Amino acid sequence: MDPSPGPRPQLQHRIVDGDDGRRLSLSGHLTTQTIGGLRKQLDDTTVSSLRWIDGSGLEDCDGNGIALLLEIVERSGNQCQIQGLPERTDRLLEEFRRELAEAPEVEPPPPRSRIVAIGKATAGLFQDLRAQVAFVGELTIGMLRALRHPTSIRWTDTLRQAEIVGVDALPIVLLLGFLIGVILAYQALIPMEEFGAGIYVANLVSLSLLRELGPLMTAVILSGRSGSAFAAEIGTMKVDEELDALATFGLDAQGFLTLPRVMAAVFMMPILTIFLNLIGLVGAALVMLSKGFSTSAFISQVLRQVDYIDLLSGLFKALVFGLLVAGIGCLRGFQTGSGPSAVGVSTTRAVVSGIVLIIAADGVFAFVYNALGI
Amino acid sequence: MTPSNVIEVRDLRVAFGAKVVLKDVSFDVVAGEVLTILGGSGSGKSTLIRHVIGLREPQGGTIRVLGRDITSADPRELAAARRAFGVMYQSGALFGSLSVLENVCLPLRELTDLPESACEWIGRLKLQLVGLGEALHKQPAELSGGMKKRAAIARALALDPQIVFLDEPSAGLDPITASDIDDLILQLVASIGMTVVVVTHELASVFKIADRAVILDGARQGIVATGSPAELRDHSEDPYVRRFFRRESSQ
Repeated sequence: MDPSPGPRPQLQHRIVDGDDGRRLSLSGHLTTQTIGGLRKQLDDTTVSSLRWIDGSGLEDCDGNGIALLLEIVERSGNQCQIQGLPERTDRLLEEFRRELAEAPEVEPPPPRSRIVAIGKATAGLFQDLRAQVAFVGELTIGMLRALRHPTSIRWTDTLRQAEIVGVDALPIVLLLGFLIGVILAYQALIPMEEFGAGIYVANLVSLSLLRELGPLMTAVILSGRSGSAFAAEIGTMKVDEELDALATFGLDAQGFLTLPRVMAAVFMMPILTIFLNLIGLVGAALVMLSKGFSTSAFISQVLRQVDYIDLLSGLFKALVFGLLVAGIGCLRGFQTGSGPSAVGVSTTRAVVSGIVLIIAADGVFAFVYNALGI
Repeated sequence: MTPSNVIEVRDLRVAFGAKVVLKDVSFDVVAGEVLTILGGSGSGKSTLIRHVIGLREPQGGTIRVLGRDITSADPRELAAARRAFGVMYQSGALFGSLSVLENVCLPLRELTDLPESACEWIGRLKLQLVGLGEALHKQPAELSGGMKKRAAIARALALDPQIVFLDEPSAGLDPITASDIDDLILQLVASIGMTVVVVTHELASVFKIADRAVILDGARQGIVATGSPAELRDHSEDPYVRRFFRRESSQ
């Protein structure tokens, strides 16, 4: 293993048939660097025919060299004997032999059957669903209780989280909102202009943004940006036993960590959604202007199409999405397991679960709004 | 470089920003010896090791390992030099996604041309040597603190390195396991001629395994004494060394 420049150590071997059986004679350096080549040349047939390994020509032998000799002996069915090793190496050989004799037979864990895996995954799915429902329920109760007793709310933490979740997210929300407005308007203009109905793009974009895309896209941004951050932060705290430290102080970790984050997300989501809606309309208006429609015509069409019910229905969705995304982010953080990949797994699960929950909830909203005639 | 010296550190200076952690640090490690680095918490023991193995660049001085100045080595030379090292980190630093056996086999798989079955054979033997023959297929998360350290030692020994660095190998272990690890270190030195550099706080371990010890004092940012543990204990006039060995009060 000497990294200094110089000739690479060499190992020579010879297989000789003698009166007392086939002999493997080694000379040179039997070290980690050289044993790979020897091992590759000794196939099972050759090894099973060996009766002796002669190490008298060796200049150097390290622990892995000896380990390889013992492996050859084992592969020969213990019919092969080692002789001629230097005294110091011989002592190590005996030590390794003793260790191997004491080594327990350990079988690798059997691969899990597919049926068991499917069963466990299904059970896990239901347990997870139950945990999610319970968590969101506990969270809602916790929030209502906190709203009844506003002094119990950790306002400093909540405002700090509101800044992180809301103010810090504003640039990305504005950028994406603007692009969504531009893309929607361009795509809608292509078919609608064919029928001379280009001006109705304003109706389409405004209705889509206020009722559907505004809250949905804001929630997706929140999930990717803040839901993942909540899971990573709480998950790291769990791995570092900080949650246990909170528990030993007699503090409720959920109230301490979850409520400020979830309340911040719930308060900030409608505000971010309003910003996304507005900037989306600006983007669509710019596209319409570039196609020769006037600003007043655009505004007039928007006001004719949408009313405060559309705006409020979208904002109510945003509020619920905020609760779901922040809640699931915190829940995944609390569910973090052990090991270095645990926090990464929690973060991924927070984002995936968050987006699934948003879309599922949006489906429920569509059904309920339709039933209510909203 | 004296032929028997495998490591030579000269006038090493390490600083984090304006804070100087080590200055004028010079010492040698002789082939086949066990050298312990002692010192209080925050005295720079682990920092010193990290510089000697080339993980950090010092602000001054030279470090020659096996005749090569690693402070001026390019990344390729440094990687080649590091193959002569085996390092056990304080936390174990086992790869969490691999089983214990896979952790030990990883350097063999990546850095030798041994076939898989031979890598596994060697890995099993190394784990048996450190008393983990039954934990081959466990994940690091399933191991106790002591088992993690032993697995990390087995991984450090995977390539039969010329020099092994052990950062607090006995910390947090029960006396029997700590003594077993000391025996293992002595056996490896005696049989393979391995050079071992150990960072430790355990005085029992120092007296059992160390040929020489260097003592670092954080307040003086460097080495305050070098010698055999018995010499340092019995003859050192340095108040810090006397306190360290005799646990005298500062009064």
